[in-house]
Amino acid sequence: MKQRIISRIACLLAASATLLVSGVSQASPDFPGEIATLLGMQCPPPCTLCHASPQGGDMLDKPWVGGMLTGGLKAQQVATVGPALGYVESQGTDSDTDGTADVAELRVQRNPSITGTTTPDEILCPPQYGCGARVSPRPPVDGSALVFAVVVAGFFALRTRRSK
Amino acid sequence: MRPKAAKSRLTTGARTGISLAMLESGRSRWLRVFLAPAAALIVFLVTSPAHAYNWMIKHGYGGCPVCHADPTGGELLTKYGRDMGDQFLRMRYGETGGASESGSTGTDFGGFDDFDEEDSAKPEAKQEEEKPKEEVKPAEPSKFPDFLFGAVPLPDPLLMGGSARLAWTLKEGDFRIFPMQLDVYGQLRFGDFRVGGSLGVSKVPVGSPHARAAQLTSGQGDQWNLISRSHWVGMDFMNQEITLRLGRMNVPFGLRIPEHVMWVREATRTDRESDQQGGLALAYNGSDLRGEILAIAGNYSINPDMYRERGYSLYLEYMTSSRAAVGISSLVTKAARDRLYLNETDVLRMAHGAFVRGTLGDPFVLLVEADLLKRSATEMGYVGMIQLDYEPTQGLHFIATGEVLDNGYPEGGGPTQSARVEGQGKPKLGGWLSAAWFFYTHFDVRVDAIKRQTEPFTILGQLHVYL
Repeated sequence: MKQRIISRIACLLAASATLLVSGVSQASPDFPGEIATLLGMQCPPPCTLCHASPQGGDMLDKPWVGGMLTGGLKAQQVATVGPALGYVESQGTDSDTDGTADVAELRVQRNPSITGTTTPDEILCPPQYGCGARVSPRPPVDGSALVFAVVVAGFFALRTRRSK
Repeated sequence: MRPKAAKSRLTTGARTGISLAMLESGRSRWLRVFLAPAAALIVFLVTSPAHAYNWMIKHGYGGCPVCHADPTGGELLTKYGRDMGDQFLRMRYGETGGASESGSTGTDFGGFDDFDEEDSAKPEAKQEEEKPKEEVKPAEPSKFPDFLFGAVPLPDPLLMGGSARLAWTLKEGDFRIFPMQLDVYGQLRFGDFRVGGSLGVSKVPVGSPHARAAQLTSGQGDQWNLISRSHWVGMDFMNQEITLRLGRMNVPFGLRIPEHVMWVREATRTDRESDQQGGLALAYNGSDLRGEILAIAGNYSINPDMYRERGYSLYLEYMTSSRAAVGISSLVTKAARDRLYLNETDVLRMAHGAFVRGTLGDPFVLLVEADLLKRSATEMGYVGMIQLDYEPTQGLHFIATGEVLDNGYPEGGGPTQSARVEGQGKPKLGGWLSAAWFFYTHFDVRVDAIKRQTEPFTILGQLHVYL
């Protein structure tokens, strides 16, 4: 009996902790999303716009990043993206010397580190994710997720009731 | 051959015996003579800077399907796996540890002593039992290790579990807390037929390489999405020695470690976070040899089709002794366009390597993995890890890991004429110092201090509840 009570309490605590803690945690927007928003790009650029690795987070090896760092870009601080872009734009920096300034290139979805003479310098949009994926700018509620959640919750409620 | 009855008990939680005779079979001898030295040579000679870990092997748990529903391990636990988690994983606080009582002496992947044998090894205890004594009520086994702490009893054919993992990072003074994992897993069995999978939710920043590739719902922003890392139907043959599965599964490659950002998993794109692929998989779990091959048909959470990789991935592992195993892995895929390096077209991606895991004395386990990497647009690269796990007392682990990575330098310098830098044409080194405390059944905490060349020092903390 005691074991049963402890089990139920632990279960409730864990479920509550999960729901409550998950609710308050917020991941900060990442740099690609911020750049896309600030410059009105069609989609967020890949991490390789600046980094050597597609996972980001390591060596910044692309020429145009130098201007951003000079402009005050700080790792992990998304608030520094805007001022850094502003600095690069104000300087008119043209890292790949193709005649178009870096920020102007980004605005038209082109890579500021590639000249475009031998290799296309278009910044390709990353793939879309999910079954039947579509571009969806922050819908209030994802309908399919909601339906699925209700079905799963119903299943567990039914099981719990039966087990009693 | 393991008796049929014993084999069929593997997933129902009973303990199996050890077929030592298998080790003496011709096949095993051949493998021991050729495969093990070959794999060892690859590891120690070809990939000297490379290096890995997996500490359940020190209890003789070389294989996976006894404790896990997935024939190649990970996520959902069987009833027996839950019991063993309670016995061997968690801290016992002065109670007699499971490890000292019932550790396996096995030399196979099933690797468990039969608990009947265990009883027979204690004649004094048995004699005690035989003495006529006043009737003692046997203690009812605790339900706490079960699904949802025993609050929801499950019928035998149904296995369920879940993981809630709350993480925080501290990097250059920036502290973040986020739900790393919120998943439920399940498997329903009808005789030899079974269906399994996972459902969860994720919330990652725009542009994040994580979680996206497992999305069911189609939010592309930083909202919550429903994800399924795996979902498959399967059929067992030969008393579960062979399993054929169709669906979305973990990619069989290398060491199935929990650290999904470890370079050996990230660079080969074979982590359990969201790198699963759809396809047809054939798994073999013999007494001393196991493996799986997955014919990759693509990840259908990624759109459009040009970004989907198709090909194969496999691993083969051989138990060289009761507490050591060596393995090889191979992966070849082709995609019209690379989903991470967007500007690469007609991408042939390969990874081939070897791994070793074994016990170095009782509290130490060593894991080593080394892989060669090749993409059509780059020169040859490599990735490796070596991990030493020290468990001074059951449930408490101190782990040291070394990593090396070179993703390969772009052929001719690539469109940006990049310089050779660490991780791209030059070796990049990383080190982890970690502590994990399994402080109670279902619960563990872990802290990792990670330093990688050209990256800021990071502290990662996790609180994990296995439901």
